[in-house]
Amino acid sequence: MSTIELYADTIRRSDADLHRALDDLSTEDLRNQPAGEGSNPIGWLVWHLTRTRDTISASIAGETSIWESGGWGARFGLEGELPRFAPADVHLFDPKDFATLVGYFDAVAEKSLKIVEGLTDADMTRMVEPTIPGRPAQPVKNRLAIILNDNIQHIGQVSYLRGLIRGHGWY
Amino acid sequence: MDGAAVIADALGRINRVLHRAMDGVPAETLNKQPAPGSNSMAWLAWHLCRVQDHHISDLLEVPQLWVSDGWHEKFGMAKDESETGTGHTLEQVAALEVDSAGLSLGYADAVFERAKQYLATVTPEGLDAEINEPQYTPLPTIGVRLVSVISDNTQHAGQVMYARGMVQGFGWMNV
Repeated sequence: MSTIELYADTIRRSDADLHRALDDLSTEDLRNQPAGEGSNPIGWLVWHLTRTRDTISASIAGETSIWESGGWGARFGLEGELPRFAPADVHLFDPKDFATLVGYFDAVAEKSLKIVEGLTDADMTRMVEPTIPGRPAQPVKNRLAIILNDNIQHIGQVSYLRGLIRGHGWY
Repeated sequence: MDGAAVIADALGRINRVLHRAMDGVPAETLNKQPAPGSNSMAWLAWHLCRVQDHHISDLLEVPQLWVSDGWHEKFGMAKDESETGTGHTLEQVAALEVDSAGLSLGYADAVFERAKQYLATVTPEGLDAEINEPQYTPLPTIGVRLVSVISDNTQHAGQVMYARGMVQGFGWMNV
């Protein structure tokens, strides 16, 4: 198992868990805050983890993000500079519907996997500019590790919220 | 960077997430079930460490730290290697309590230390070695097993972060 296969397997496995956690939920479930006011809803979590994977993957590949090239901003009604959602206003994020939210996720997952599987060992230590201005450049391997750590934490959070909606031990 | 180093890096991040979420947090907060029917921070951290201890010790073919180093006793639980919390009822979740963050993080650090030492011995070829568990088809490899630990543990670490927000207030990490 190569390093690339390891990254790919970990992400694929976790993405399968995400799909299970989303299975058969309603559009309302994407918006609701079962953990209470100020908590990150499922829709926001999925959007955020996808944006993270999208921007980091694009910067690794030196390409435009799927968000831009696929016109997803318009589809989410979030054109131009994206707001930073804080607990006080995260409920204002509109996930639209499953087709839009999961459509974006699936497009990014597919593209990101292609980018990762196209990397070589030499790429791993190549320095990449940060997606957040002002942060230091990091090697590709660090950027991939950040995708894993950020995304899989949020996938776990979606599963936790499904438990609040559907009951303990749903899996 | 080889596969074992990727795994070790991921486990290191998980360990830092646990410290960030739990260092200095009172036991009462750790033990609280944030909503009826939800898992507490203490339970989540305990469970992910049990999974890590179980799988890494299996690969090392040694007894788990849970029993060999008396961690079960510190947690006030039975000397039972099969107890990882998978399938726990709500009563079992509620019954798991820690007296301090130090207990949760002590176990987490011990398990991570063992994992690091193990991973330092794993070669790229070693990741493809099959594990003799005929209940699975195909047989899992060491790489597949380690991937499952990373996915499980990272998810639960994220849940610890979320649970803290539920108990102490959202946006706690930005303060």
